[in-house]
Amino acid sequence: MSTLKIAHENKCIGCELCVMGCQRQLARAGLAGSYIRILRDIKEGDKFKVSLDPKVAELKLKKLVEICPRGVFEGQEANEA
Amino acid sequence: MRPKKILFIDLSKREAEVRLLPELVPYVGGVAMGVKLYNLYQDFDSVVVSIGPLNGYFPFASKTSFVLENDGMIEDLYLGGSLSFRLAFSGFDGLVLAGACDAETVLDIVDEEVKFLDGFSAGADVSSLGLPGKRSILQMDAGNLLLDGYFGLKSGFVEKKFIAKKVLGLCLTGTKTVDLPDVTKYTALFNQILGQANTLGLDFGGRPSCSGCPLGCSESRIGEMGGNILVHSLVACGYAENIYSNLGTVFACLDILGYNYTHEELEALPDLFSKTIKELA
Repeated sequence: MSTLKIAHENKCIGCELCVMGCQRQLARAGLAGSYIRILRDIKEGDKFKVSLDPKVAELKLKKLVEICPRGVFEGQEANEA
Repeated sequence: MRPKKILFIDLSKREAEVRLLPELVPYVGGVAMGVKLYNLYQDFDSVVVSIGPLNGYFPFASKTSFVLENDGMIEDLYLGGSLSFRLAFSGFDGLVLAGACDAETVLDIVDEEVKFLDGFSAGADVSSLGLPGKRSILQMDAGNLLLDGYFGLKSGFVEKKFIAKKVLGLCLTGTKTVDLPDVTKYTALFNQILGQANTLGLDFGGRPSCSGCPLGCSESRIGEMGGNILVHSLVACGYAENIYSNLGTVFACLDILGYNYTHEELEALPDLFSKTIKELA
């Protein structure tokens, strides 16, 4: 089973490259319907929450792990186990 | 090419209207389109907020352009953060904030729908507005205008306008998605541009980053003013000028998104910009 884990949420800088990468794998651009969402804390502008939809496991996780410049994610695809 | 799509917000009348403007196509976007829009709506003392065709799609096309008048001068400013993506995926190329509110107001914009909200005070909690993950919040607090509680503009010009217009804040949510016609080609170009991050001359700073930029640099917090007309019509980061002043790269990006600008049109952009500025003088 493929899994993507938020390993270091505190490192997220809100660049949304993971959101773009997720949407690209679904052949679209935009924010709606992304299996990864980045939620900003407007009270503390340097804090972010990362939200994962379980459907993210359907995607190529290695690409999502690699596109994050901060190493927020850890993941394993079924065929890599 | 499709006409530019503008959300015209008349603050005095508390009305908003979608305007399709084919005559803006030669202006591409960002600052060039912004000054033309300012020209069209200067009687309203407008603040024009605009993006370019690559915002939301390519790395480092991450800023949002503001055009306004300050002490008789037309000023162009560029805000970092997430706003350009939200504007792109609300389906608009730009917003025009025209006129002024009668009383202090917060604007809650979800795609084409605009709500004019009363009863807020400066710095009030507006976190209930919009849709998390798809919104940006630009808010006045203690005389400063901050996007998502972090990104600002150091000039104070936009703050002055928001105060004069009695706009305490603006929450913009973009819920639209766009199908990518050739994902393989798009992804290759995306990765090629992203791979040039080290040419920006900035360190990976680990600070809050603009959408579509992996750097998290210290410069993004204070925005930008002035600079290369093509780069700022694409509303890319000024530090990515080497990438987005390369016409080959720009054409490849535009082509993949279905824009068929010619070399002549892009090369004419600085003159078009200058001509529009002269018309304003």
